[in-house]
Amino acid sequence: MSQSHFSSAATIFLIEDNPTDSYLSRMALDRAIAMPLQIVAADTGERGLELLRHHCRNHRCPNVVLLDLSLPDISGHEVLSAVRQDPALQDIPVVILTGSDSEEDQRRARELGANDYWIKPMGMLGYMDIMRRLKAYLRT
Amino acid sequence: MKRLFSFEHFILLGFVIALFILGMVGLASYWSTTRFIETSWLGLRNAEVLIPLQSIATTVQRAESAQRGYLLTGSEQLRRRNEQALVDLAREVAKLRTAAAHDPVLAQRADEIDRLVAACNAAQLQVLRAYQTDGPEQARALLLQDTGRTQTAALETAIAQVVDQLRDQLLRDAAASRADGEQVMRYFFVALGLVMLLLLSLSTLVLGEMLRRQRATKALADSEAKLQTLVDTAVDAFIVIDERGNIESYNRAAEAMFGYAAAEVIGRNVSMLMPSPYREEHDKYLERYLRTGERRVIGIGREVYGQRSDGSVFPIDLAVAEFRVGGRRRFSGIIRDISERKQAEARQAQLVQDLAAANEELSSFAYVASHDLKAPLRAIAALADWISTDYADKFDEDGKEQMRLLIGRVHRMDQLIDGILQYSRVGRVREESVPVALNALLREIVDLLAPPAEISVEIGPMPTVVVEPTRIQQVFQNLLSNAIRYMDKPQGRIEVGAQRVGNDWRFHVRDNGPGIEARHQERIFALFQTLQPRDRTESTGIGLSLVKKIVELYGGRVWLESTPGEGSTFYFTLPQSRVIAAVQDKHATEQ
Repeated sequence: MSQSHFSSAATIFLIEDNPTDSYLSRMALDRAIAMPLQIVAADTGERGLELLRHHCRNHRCPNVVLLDLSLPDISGHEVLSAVRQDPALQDIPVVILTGSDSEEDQRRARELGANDYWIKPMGMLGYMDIMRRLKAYLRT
Repeated sequence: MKRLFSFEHFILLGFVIALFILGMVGLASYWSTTRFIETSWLGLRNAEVLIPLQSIATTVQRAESAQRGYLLTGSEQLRRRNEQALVDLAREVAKLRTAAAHDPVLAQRADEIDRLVAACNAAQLQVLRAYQTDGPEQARALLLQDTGRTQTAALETAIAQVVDQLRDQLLRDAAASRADGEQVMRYFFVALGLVMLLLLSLSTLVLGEMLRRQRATKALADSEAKLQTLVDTAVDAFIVIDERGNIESYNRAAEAMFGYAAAEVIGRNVSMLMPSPYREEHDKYLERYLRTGERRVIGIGREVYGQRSDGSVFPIDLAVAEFRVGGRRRFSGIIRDISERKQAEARQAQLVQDLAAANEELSSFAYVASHDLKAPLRAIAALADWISTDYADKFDEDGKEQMRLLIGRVHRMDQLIDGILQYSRVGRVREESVPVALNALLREIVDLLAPPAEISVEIGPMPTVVVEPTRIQQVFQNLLSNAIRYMDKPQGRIEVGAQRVGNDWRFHVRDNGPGIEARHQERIFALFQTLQPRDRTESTGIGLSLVKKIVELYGGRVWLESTPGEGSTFYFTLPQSRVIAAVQDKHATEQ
């Protein structure tokens, strides 16, 4: 944190197609985490992967990826699988943030190497709570 | 059973014996008649001998008396009469010799008589000569010496002897012949009696057998007629084929089913009633069965296809049996047209499929809709929170109250959607069924629900059941949470138990709460149904529908018994097959 503002800022990748959910996540992050944050958002799986690779090559890998499961092109599970198979990306922590409480989805995410599986909460307090739990991934 | 002699052999033997007896009788008759003829002939011949014998006797007397007369009177007439008698005598002797020639003994006698006749003649000639030469005195003296008379007496005696002998002979022969005849007659009658007896018994036997056979034939004909009627009036087609597959019998139902008249198919190969490829393979199949005994249909029956005379193919249920008549194998087929059944099955399968598809679609719809409803609801919830937080100083008391209500309604809607999600998952999302020890599960549920201190929950001995753990938890959790939520007594008592009833296990959750009126008892299992204002209980009205859906999915049923004011007992059943372990014999009481 003693380094320059931009480079020391923790980076969070947000792969989420629903703009309202994306907005709610940013709002909650903003209020829950009192530290400089760089948030990179992608609204499709392919776009997210592309941005991730680009970011890792040119800067450094993000601290954590918040990944939705239902995406318009490829599913969150496929994005996760691609991340874990890419040597350049495989160490990035990935947290699933989804509306699905299906056990099947949860089991698959764990098998593919998700670090956490959180269900999108109902209400502001829930979001704040989740983002506070995200802090654990931001300590570099 | 095979007898050594059949009935026919027996009858034949009887006739042979009868014929033999008749033959013997015939032979005996022939023999007897022959003998009779011989005896008669002999008698006749002997009678022929008697006549000259009698003539000889009388002629000798005639000669003597003529001689004596001549000697006394010297009458020439008498001398001639004497001479004539002597000539007659010679002729009669000749006759006698002729008649006696056939019998050596008689011939001997005839010789003897001839000799005696000659002696008599000689004596008379001597007297006559003496008369003519020495005169009458000398002749009389010679006559008185009686040598002639002695000769004549000897002749008469000899003749009488022969006559007696012949008469005896005739009488003996006649008696013997008569005895023979009587003997033969006796044999004949005995034989005739025997033959008649034999024929009578044979005809009785034959008649009896004929009657028996006639009756048997009639009985057989009756039985055949009955069988034929049975076969003809049968609903199923009935076809009999021989070893080569040629049709021997074909009933009316078969005519109606296949569209061929019996006359068109009898004698033809049964494959004509089958579509390809059965038609081509049937002969091979039959041949293989006869050779190896490998069965595909025979004695088993199966569903195959038939072909009508118009070429249309229809499904049939075929049962084939094998039987032997007169050492030849035959096969009978009972055929039922199952077109309608097949169509009904197909319709039913289609309906079931449609229903399953509709159900699946509905579940999917409920699931997707719920999910899609959740996303905007989350936004509304979070944004409403932020608005009421960030702009708290801008709201007056009414505004704050309205925001609070708004947020409350959002959470309520979230609960409803969760309920629908849960409900739509039952049966659509399947977990693995594993053994669940209900006592342990119920303790966990009670811990989770954390009933207030004044409500006691008693869990009776519960079995272990093989089910999806989430589902059985949902059942008990909903029943228990209802019991706790609606409890209106200061000392609440809830009791859970299980009991084997017939082929099912019956579980119950009993409370001493408010109870439910009979008119509501059916209604409460409907979706979204609650009996109290929602805001008071925060009930979604999905819990009991969920319970019902889960229990029915497992083949059980759910109902309740309740006395308003005193409490309710909710029952549900699970099939015995779901229960693997007996009741755990310990009571757990949760305060």
